[in-house]
Amino acid sequence: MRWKGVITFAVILALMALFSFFFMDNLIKWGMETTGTMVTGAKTEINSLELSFARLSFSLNGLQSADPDNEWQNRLEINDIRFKMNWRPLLEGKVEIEEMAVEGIRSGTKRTTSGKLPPKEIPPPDPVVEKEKESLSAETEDVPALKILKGEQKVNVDDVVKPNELTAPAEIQKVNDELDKRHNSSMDLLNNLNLTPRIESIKKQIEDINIKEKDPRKLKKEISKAKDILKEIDKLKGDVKAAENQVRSDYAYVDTALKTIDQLKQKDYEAALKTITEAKGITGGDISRLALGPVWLDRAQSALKWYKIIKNLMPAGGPITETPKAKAFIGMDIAFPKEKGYPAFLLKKVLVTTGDKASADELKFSGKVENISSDQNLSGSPTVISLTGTSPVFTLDGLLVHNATASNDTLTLIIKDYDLKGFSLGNSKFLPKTVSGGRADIHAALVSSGGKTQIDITILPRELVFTPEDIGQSEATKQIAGVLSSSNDIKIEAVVTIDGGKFSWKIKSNLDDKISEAVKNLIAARMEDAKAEIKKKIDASVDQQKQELVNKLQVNKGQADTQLKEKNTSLDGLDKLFESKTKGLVK
Amino acid sequence: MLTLKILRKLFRILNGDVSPRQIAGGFAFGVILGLTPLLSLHNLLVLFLICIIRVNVSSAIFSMLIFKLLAFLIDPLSHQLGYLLLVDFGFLNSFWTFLYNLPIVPWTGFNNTLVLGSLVISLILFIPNLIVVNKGVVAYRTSLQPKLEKTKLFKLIKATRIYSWYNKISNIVD
Repeated sequence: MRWKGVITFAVILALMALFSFFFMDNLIKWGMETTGTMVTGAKTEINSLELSFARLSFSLNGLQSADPDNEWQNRLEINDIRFKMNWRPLLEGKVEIEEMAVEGIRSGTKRTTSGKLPPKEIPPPDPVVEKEKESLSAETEDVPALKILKGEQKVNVDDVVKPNELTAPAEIQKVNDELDKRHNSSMDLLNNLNLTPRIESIKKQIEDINIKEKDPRKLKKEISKAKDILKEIDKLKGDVKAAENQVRSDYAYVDTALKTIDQLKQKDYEAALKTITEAKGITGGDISRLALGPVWLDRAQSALKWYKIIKNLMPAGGPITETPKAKAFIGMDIAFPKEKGYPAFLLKKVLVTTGDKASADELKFSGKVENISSDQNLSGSPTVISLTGTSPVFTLDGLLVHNATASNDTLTLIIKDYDLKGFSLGNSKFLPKTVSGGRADIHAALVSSGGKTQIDITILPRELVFTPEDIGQSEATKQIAGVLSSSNDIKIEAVVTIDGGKFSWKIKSNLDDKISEAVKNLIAARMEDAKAEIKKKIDASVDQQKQELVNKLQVNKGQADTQLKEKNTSLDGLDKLFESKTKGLVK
Repeated sequence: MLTLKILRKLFRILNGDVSPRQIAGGFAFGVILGLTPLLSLHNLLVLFLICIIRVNVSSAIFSMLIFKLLAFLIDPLSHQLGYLLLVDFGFLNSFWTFLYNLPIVPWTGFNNTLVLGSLVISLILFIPNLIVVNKGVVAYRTSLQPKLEKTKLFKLIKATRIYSWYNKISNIVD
């Protein structure tokens, strides 16, 4: 044995002991801060940490984790975390903690130093969720009603009203042609009566009658001639009357046609309106999904991220389907039966006590988490979470079963009367940035079994208030904010499912109908101006032509009337001549 | 530079007056340190033995470095051997269970396939290493060293300014 070597070895051991004594605390502190920063995606700091080998105790003071969205605010701050380890399992390299005390949990506290992380330390967003959000955004761009809401889509009256496609002007042209045809026909009919020569012939016959004849036989003959002339006059009258009836009938057709033109003009107007109001047909479900989707996906992503962290810390669970493969250069730990088996890590109970003696901004809740274990087969119990809060009023219950037969997780969170003031609504194009006031009841449930995970969230918001700054200038956001503020019976149900790596989600809400109605009203209001313009253009295309037709009708009708009047006057003259000649004896 | 320094040390050990047995002992212990994961409890014992037994520390460091590099190639074999001993050889199960139930022993990580496999390989190689290295050093000193010193290349290297300059600096640093 060489003593020089023994001294060297002793010095090495002493150095290791000194290193542990002076630097182990800082090493663990650094490790926890680094891991915390990595897991939360925000700067995590610890004020002090003490690990005592003699007492096997651990004490942590002043843990703060920054808010990734606000570098001067903490998302979480914990005053103290304390626990003691049991020595017996530690001899076997296992950590067993009987009880851990967590005290003084606060949220939203101010930071004295910036909690901003260098860009490279910010974890990348989930690619599946980001893809879903991108697809949602692209879908949004194609929805006509939303374009109208955003004020991007204007109505071009020239596109809507094309004169050559209107039915009323075509009908006017048709009626105009028919009027010409019928007018010509009427004129021909009147002219073809050949009235003047016929009257002249009758007049001559009347002049030849000698009613003063003394000879009865000759007088009788004269009377017979007068009767024949009278028959001829009546026939002439009949012909004129028939022609007059025909002419009146022809012009009556045009009067009816003018009414048809008015009806067609109304139809043209309605058809034009239909093309611009088709956007009204959009379902409310689309709008609600598009408006709330990005916010919901962000929240779901956040919830899934935390659940993934918890699940990764938990043992795999479930029946072993294949032999585990050794990791390169690390090997594989083989477990053997033990008289008293300890899992590699077992935290029997975490007692959370807070809100009774600390500062006013401290969260007021208490509860416990039992049996956090690296091997539930050895610890014998599933992990049970039970937390109850008074401000806000909430309960969080969880059962995480990860043993040889199953891998099932159930987490239920119920929040009553949650104060929504300052609640961020993300970067949705259609929602205000934050909620300035309001309350909500929230029920959230996460169920995971094997490779399938489902999150159901039901939110019942009410008394929502938004400031004009949060709403901004977007007409769409104004409308949606108006709907949200004025309704106290909104119910939003959202579901995210991950089954074998396949991601799906949906939102169901009565908000759909409310927003849909508001959108329709907005579109209708926007359409009023367009409607007036359309009416003006159709009127301009139809009314002038119609007026020309009416004028033409009146001129034609006037011509016919004049002719008929002349003809009737001639007939009257004939009657008078016959009366004066026959002295009323023949009738 | 480090490789050159290690080679120079190796030549100095080989050409110096350190006994071949001490060189072989250091080499064999270094193999254990090199092949098995360094931060294992059994290596504390190996380190203790290197310190108290009269073995050459430089040869231990040299072999540790060489076998640490070789370990990357041997690790899959070590894992397979460890798995064979811990799982496939059922008759050893009660022995492992006994060890597993002892305090402190689980800290050695013996139930890890890589730790056990590489430890067994290095222990199997321990005696052959002692014999081969011992005989090798003796053979080198009696036959190869005189011949090597007479070669033109060796003389040429020794005659260069760079070698003498490097030698001087190395001596100052040492």
